[in-house]
Amino acid sequence: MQPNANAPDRRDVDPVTFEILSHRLHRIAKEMGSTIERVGGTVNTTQLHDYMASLYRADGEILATGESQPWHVACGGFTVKSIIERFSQYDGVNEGDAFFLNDPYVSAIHQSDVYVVSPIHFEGELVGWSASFVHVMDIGALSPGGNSPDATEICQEGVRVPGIKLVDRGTLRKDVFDTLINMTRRPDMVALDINCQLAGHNVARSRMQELYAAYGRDLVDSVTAQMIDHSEAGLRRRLEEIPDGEWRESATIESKGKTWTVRLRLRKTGDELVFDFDGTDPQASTGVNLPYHATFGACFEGVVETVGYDLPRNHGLFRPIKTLVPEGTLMNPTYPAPVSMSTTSGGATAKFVVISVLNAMLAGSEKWRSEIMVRLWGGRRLRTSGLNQYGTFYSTSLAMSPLSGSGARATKDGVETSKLDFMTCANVEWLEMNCPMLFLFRRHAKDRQGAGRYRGGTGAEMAFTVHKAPNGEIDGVAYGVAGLTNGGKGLFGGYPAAPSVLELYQGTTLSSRIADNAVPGRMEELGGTRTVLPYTNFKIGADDVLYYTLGMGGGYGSPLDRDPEAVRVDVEKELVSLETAREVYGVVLDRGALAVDVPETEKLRRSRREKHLEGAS
Amino acid sequence: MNRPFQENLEIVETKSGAWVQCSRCGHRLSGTNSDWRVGCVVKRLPPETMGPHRELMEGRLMLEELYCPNCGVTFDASVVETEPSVDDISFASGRPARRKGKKSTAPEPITLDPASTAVIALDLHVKACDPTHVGHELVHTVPGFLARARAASVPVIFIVPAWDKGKPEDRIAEPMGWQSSEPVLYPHAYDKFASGELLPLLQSWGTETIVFLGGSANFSMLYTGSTAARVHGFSVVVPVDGIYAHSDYEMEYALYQLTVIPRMHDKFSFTTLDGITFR
Repeated sequence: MQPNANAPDRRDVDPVTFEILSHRLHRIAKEMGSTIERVGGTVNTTQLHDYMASLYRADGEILATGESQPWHVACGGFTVKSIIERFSQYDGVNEGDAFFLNDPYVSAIHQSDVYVVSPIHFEGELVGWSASFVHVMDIGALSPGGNSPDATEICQEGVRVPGIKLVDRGTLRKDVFDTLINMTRRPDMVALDINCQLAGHNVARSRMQELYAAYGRDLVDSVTAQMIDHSEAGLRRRLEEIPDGEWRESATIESKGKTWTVRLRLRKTGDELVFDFDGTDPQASTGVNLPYHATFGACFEGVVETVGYDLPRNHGLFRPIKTLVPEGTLMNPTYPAPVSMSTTSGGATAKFVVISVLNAMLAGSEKWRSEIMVRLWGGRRLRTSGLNQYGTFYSTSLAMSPLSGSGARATKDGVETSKLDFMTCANVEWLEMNCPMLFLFRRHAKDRQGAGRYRGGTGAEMAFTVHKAPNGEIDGVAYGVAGLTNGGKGLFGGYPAAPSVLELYQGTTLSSRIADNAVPGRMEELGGTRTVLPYTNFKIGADDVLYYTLGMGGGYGSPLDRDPEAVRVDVEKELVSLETAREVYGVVLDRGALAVDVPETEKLRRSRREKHLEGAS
Repeated sequence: MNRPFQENLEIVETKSGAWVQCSRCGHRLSGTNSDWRVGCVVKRLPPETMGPHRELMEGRLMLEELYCPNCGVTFDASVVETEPSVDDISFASGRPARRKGKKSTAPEPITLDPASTAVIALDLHVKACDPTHVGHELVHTVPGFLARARAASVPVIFIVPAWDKGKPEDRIAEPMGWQSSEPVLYPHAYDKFASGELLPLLQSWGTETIVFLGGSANFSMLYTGSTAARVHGFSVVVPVDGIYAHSDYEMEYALYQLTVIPRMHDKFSFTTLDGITFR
């Protein structure tokens, strides 16, 4: 049955009913997500929140998003539309169906993020869709886990499905299911991932049908149409309040001597935004490229997180946005460009430049400038795999990115080890229990934030070694945003953070130190040869230590304008050193009592400002 | 009326136009049609200025800070690439390598708005009529372009070296078809803005883009063109067959230099006399 995009959807709805139903739809999307998390059996779903669950109208317009990453919500909508189009040519969309799609040249972001979409029928008619993605544990790519630094074309990046019926009228197509999971390294784990998605869709379908039965189709469809109009009107009203203009930003990823630059120009006219990526570098032969629909999704996410942060997240927030991306570039690659590292490299960079230009736009508005939050770029990422201490193959993302520090805000510091992009973080105990790894430390990293009047949030640093691996070693994949500028940027005189790095120390003295019951606290104590990792596959063997610092936030405003008392507190909390307090912030602290020396601080800051003008004509 | 532009910067509307100014001390940096950064004090500092853990950046990246030239407050801070060192230039075979700047100097067609364009002809006076003069060829190629510019009502300014003023040599080369309404200036500097007469003329015409003709590429054109872009915010168009220099090296050096002026390389366009179209 074909979707009825023109179903009766305009009827006067009283405000109370409107609120009750719109919140109910939001709760259904959330419950769908909770189901995925509770039924799931892998680290990605149960601990990392690396999934999405959302609802769509019959024509694929976004309806309710729960707590999902907006760019995946956008790509979920493109997935629904592509399934509608594809299956109108085949055997149609039937009640109880579910479809599998992970092709980045259709609507997915990279193959590891598997979309499942299901139609929702009421009294025999198509009334909506549910969509989900889970980052599955493996997808049969060159590198375990999917992110493949050595892939030079998409055919090396795993199973690629442009849309296939996985459940037919309520019956799982076991032949299709087994074919898909058996093209991966961990069929059992991938089966868990897909099954929990199907469970989420079953719950969403039941709840939606209950809703339609209780309120009737006319009323529910009227509410869903008006929810979208409400969000669109709210966003357009806000954009009208902000001065028109044009803002530019660029960011460069770097690895093994190669660079890839993303350039963006935002034009705002009235209540419309145009994101123009003209000038972005040509597509890469490394998987940092970002498919077009995800680039649009990054723009959507940027708008949602800045001017639209408290508006109901639905298709209404799409409408004022236009995205121009030249074909054959990093932000709109053409087949067969690889994309397996898209989400954490090209995607993180797209979101960075998008929110940076939106911040610049907000800075010109007296009303909105206080909402600015410096964008964290993203930093490095890491996977490990191999035989675990139980003799079975494992592959896991460390997914520590939620321990990044957020950027500073216009009115306060960034958040320490904050949650990034809706994901959560695996605990060390779980990793040590399931993987042959031993963590030496995981803690706040001192002096790596971007300094400023308001400083960036402090991120984490950690180090681990291999432990009880049957082969004596495990494999690693280094991905994420590579390069020395991945600390992002500060705003208005604030400094960028220190680079996020993955460093492999080989041939350390770790085992002898452990034998002596000496707990290593600093990498300098361990010796060994340090290698800063680019995009690469590598091995971690006995006495090797992997040191990892997360991305951290840039600062806002000049460090010389920071409240000296706030600097003192940072030193007391061991987030900032005494030396940095003096050299970067111009704050003199009494070393013993840890009190601010006010006259000396004022004198030092005055001399720094005078120095700014030295030699200027 | 003042409105915020960004932290420590605001836009102020006055009778003379809209300006970007320091919100702490009121110092005006530029008009809103120009890049406010050109009015700032710019300093490049070592990466450790930002704190520890920046050692990997050393030698490759620097911190660039922009300050108010009046009160010293910081407007912006960003990480920039260290400029290439002179040692990078190879002098193999007695000739400098063709270095690639931040922008290509390959000529591209360009369309200009006559209402906001002016032409500055440097040193195209009677001396250029001497067949041994380094710019003699332009006596034959530039007049056709000037005719097109005048037909489109684009104003033309002639500039003659101060030491020729009052001498028979101060006349404009006849083929240029000088008209009495076209100003002739005699500034005593390679930067032709230095005497103070040029800028008010351009502003009075509402000029946003300047087309440079004549020479020398590596003296008057380079100095005046870089001031036009960096200090006054004009866009600069260089028709590479409409300017002259004493050697290929001087020409190449001058054009390369325009492509690497920090933050300014996008202000310069390279074209040919025939490649310029007036809307």
